[in-house]
Amino acid sequence: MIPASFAYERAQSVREAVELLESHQGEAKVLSGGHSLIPLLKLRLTSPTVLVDIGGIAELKGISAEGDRLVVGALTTHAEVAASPEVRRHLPLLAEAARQVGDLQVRNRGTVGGNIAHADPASDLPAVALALDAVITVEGPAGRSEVPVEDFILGPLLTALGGSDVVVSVAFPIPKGKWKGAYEKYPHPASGYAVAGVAAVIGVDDGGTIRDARVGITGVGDMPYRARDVEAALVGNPATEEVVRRAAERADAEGSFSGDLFASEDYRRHLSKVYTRRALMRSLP
Amino acid sequence: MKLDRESAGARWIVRPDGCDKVTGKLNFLTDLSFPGMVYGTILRSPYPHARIKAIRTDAAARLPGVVAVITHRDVPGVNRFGIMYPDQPVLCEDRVRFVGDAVAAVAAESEEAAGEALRLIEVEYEELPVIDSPEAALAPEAPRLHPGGNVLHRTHYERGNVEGAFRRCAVIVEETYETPRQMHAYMETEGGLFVPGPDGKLAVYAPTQHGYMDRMQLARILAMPETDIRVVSSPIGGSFGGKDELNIQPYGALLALCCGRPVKIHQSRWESVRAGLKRHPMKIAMKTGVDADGRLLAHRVRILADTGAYATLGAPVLQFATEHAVGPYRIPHVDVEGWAVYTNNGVSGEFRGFGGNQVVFALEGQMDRLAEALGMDAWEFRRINLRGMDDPGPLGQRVAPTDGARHVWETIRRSSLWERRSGRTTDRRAETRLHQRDVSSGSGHVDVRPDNGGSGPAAASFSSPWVRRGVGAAMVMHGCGLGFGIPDPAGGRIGLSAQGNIQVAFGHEEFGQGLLASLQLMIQDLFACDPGDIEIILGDTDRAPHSGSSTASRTTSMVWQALHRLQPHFSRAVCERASTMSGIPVSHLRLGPGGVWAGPERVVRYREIAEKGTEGLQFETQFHFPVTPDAIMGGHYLYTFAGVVTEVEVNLLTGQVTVLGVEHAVAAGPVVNPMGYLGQIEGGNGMALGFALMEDAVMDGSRYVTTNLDTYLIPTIRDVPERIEVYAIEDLPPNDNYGPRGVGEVGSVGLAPAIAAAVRQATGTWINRLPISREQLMRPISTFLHENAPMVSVPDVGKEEG
Repeated sequence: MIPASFAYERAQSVREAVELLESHQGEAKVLSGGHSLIPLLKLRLTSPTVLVDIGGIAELKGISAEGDRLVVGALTTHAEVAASPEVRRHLPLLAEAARQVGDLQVRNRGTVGGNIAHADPASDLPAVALALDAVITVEGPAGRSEVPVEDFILGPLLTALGGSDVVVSVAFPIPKGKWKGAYEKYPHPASGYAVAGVAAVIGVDDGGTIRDARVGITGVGDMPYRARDVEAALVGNPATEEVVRRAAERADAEGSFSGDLFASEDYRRHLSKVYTRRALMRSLP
Repeated sequence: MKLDRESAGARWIVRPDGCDKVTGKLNFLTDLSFPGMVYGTILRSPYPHARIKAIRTDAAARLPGVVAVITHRDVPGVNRFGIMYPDQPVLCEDRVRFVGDAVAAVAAESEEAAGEALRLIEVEYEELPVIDSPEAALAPEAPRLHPGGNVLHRTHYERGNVEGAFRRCAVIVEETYETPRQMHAYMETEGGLFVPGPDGKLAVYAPTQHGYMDRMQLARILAMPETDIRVVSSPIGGSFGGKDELNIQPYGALLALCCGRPVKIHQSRWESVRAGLKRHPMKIAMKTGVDADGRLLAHRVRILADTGAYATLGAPVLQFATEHAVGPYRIPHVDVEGWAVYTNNGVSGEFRGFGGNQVVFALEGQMDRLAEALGMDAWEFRRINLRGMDDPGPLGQRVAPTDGARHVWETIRRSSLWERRSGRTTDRRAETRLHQRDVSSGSGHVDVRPDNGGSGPAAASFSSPWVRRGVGAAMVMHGCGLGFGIPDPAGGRIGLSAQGNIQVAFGHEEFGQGLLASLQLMIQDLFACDPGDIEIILGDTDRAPHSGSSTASRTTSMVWQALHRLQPHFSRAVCERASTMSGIPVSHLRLGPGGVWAGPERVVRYREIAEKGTEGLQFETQFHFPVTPDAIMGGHYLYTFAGVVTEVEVNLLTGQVTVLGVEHAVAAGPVVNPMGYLGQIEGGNGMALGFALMEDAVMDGSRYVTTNLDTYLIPTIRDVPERIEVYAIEDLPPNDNYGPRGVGEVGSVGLAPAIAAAVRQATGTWINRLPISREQLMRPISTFLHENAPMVSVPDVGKEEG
C-alpha cells in the first residue's frame, strides 16, 4: 500500500530534531532506519504529517565502552552491533540477539534506537535490554535524561517517550564478576519476529552458587517482561542443570500471554519455558 | 532408475522458456499492456452471506477517470459460470454467498480511480445467517444456499456386504481424518488483458487450463458466438488447478465490451485469497477391518467435503475422492459414501491431486494403524493386500492392466530410508517409554508394539532426548484423465510452417509444468530433428486446436498420443515433397536435423520444402482420452502409482516436525523429460509438505483469517528436505500403448501420510488431522527431567555480509 502524504524534514543535530518535533506538536514522527515506521505508514496504521529524519546525525552512531557499560548510539544498526568486537567481547548475548533480528535487510538498515523506541512486543532487543537492566538516554525539550528500560517500555508499541523526545542511546551495563549469557529464540517463519525470545544471564560465585540471574522474555504477549520468579528460583542455588530446569518451569508465572493464528496462548506459555530453559542452560558456567 | 542429471544424460535439457523466466524477460499474460488500456477492478462482498437490497453506482460512475461501472444488469447473456454446473453468479443479483462474491466491477483510467470508484459504489446488504461448516449446512433447520438445497453432490459406491464382513474381522480400525483448506498460492495472481476488436470481436489474454472451456463459458455470459472470442491462455505463472475455472475473465470481458477499450485486471494477493479456489477441506471417517492373517476384508468410508458457496468442480472432486478412498488394495467388501456440501466458506474446487490427497491421507493412515494393531511391518501389510496386474479398478471397473503398484512397493522396500525404520524403535528404550506414555494417556487407540525389524543400521546419534526421528511410508494410486462420464477430448496439429519449422499446436498451456520441454523432446524423438527446427504453439483458440484441458495428469499422455498419431502422416508427406524435389525415392528418405536426409546426407532443407508451398503438409487429429468400458461414473482407465518414504525429526519440546529426507518411487510409464518429471515430483513434494505441516486457509465465521502469505505460511527452501530422491519406474505391461503418463499430481499425494506415519514412529502420536499441530506433539519439559542429556546447540543465523 501507499502511505498517506507527509512532509519531510532532515535534522542535523539531536537538538534540531527535538525542536522540529516540538514545532509540529505531536504530528511528527522520527525516522531513523525506517524498518518499523515505514511498514506502519504503508499499512496506514499511522499517518504523521511530518517525518523528522535523524539518519544524518553523526553523534547518534557508534558503540563505545563507558566504564562498566556499553553505550550503543541510537542509529547503530543491528548488523553493526552483531559485528562489533566490543559487543562480542563484553556482551556476547547482545551480539547474538542482534544477529537474529528480522532478516538481513532489517539488520543492515534497522537501528537499535528505532527498535527500542518502537517497542514491538515481539522484538528481540528488549529482552536483552531487560535482562541487562539497560538504560535509555532520551533527549527532549527539557534536556537529556536516562530512563531504565523497564520504565521505558509501557505496552505494545507504547513507550515513555514524549512527543518531542528522541532516543539518543541505549546503555547496556556489563554484568560484574564471573557470568555468562545467551539469547534463544523461536522465530516466526515469515517475519522473523520472536514467537518466544529469551535473554538470560547467570552470574556465579567462586563456590559455584548462582549469585545473579536475569531473564528477559519477549514475543509471547503484549510486552516483554522480566521473569522474576525464574530469577528467584535460581539465585542462591547451585548452578546446575537441575536447578535451571526447575526454574524454567516458572517462566510463564509473570507476563501477559496472548495467542494468534501461528501460536496459541498455551503454546507461547510452553515456549517461554522451553526457551528460558535453553537460554539458561547455555548461561551455566 | 534414479532420476538425476547423470541418469538423464543428453535428455537433461534446460526448458526452452527457462532462461527468460529466471531473467524476468518472459512476459506472462498479466504482464501485458495495450495502448489506451484502462484498469478493471471488482467489488466483492464483505459478507459471507447476505441479501442485496440495493446497488447504487451513480456516484462511482460520475467519478473523473471512470469509464465503466457494471452490475448484474449489464450481463447480456447467462449471469452464471461454473465448468460443471454454472451456478456461480458473474455479478450477484440479490444475494451474496461468500466473501469473494462479485457485486460490481469498474474500469477506470488509473488503478487509483478504479479503487476510489469501488468505494463509491453503495450496496445495501441485509446479513443472513452464515453456514460455516458442512455439518451446519446439513442441519435440518439450515437455510438453503441454493434452490436444490445444500448438498451439491452425493456419491455412493458399494460392493459385497460390509456389515457382514466386519463381523468376521479380527482387527478393525475406525478413525476420522481431517484435512485443511489448502491454497494454490501460485506466484502469479489471477489477471489478464481484454482487448475488444473493431469487428466486435474480443481477445482475452488470461491464464486458464482450458482455453476452449473459457471461450465457451465467456460466449454464454457475453451472448456472443464462440468464434468471436479468442482466448490466449499461455504462459501462466502457476495454476495447480486454481485457474482452471473462470476467475476474473468475465469482468474483464464485460468491461472491455462495455467501454470499448482494452481492460487490464490483476488481482492483489488478498483478492486472490478471498475469491480464489481452495482445496476441499474434508472430514473422512474410515472403518477398516482385516482377518487374522492381515487380509483386508471390509472398508467403510464416509466423506464430508466443504465445497463452499458454488459448484465449480466440487462434484467431480468428490467423485475422485470416492474412487481413491479404496486405493491400490484388494478389499472385497467396500462401502463408500460422500457428500459435497455447500457452505459460505469461499469456493472449493480443483487442486492438484483432485480429492485424492485428502482420502489417501486417511486410507494410508488406516493401513498403518491396522499393521500396527496386527504387529506387522507396515509395508509387508500393504504387500499382502496389494492389487495385481489384472485386477479391476477401485470401483470394480475394467482398467488398463498395470503392475505399477507392485513396482513402487518393491522400490520403497529396497530403499535405504525404509531400512532405517527398523533400526529405530527397537533399540531406543526412551522412545518405547514415550510410546507407552502416549498410549496410556489415550492419544492412540491401538496397541503399540515394536516393529518386527531387526537391529538395522544404528539410529542416528541425537544430541537431545527430545529430538526424535521416525520413518514412514505411503502408497498412492492416482487416476489419469477425467474419468468415465466426463467428455475428455484430445487432439493436436502438426505442420510445416511457412518458415520451414516443424510446427505443432496444442490447446494446452505452459503453466510451469514443463510442457514446452516435454514437447521439444518428444518431437526430437519422433523426427530426429534439431531443437531449432521446432515451433510450438500453445494455448490460443485462434491458433491451436481443441486438445481438452491441461488438467488431471493428462497433458503429457495426450500430446504424446497425438504426436504418435500424426507422425507417420507428416513424415510421409514431407518425405514425398523431398522426394519430388530431389528425385530420391521416399523409401530412402527420413526426417532429420534441418531437413530430410538420405543416408548420411541431408538432401533437402525444411525451409526449401516450405518455400515450394506448405499446403497438404498440415495434419490434425482429434480423439478421446482412454476410458473404461464400464459405465461407472468417474471411474478411471489409466493410473499412475507412487510410493513415498520419509524420515522426520520431531522436537518434542516445540512440536516442530522437520522432514529430513524423502524418496519417491513413481510408476508412470516412460520418462519423456527427466528434468520436468523430477520438477513435478519435487514440486509436488513441496506442496504436500505444506499440506502436511503448515498450510491452512483458516476461516472464522466464513471469513478468511489468513489474508496473505504472512499468515498463510507455505514451505520455503528452509523447509524442503535436503535429500529428495526420485525413482522412475518406466516399465509398462506388454501391449500397453498409452505411452508416458502425466506426473503433475501423483507426487503431491503420498508425502502427507508418510510424514504422519514417521511422526507416529518418532513420537507415538497418531496424526488424524492436517496440518500436523505442533501443540499436539509437544511435551512438557518435565517429561525429560530424568534424561541426562547434553544441551542443544545454538542456531547460527549466519553472517551479515550477505
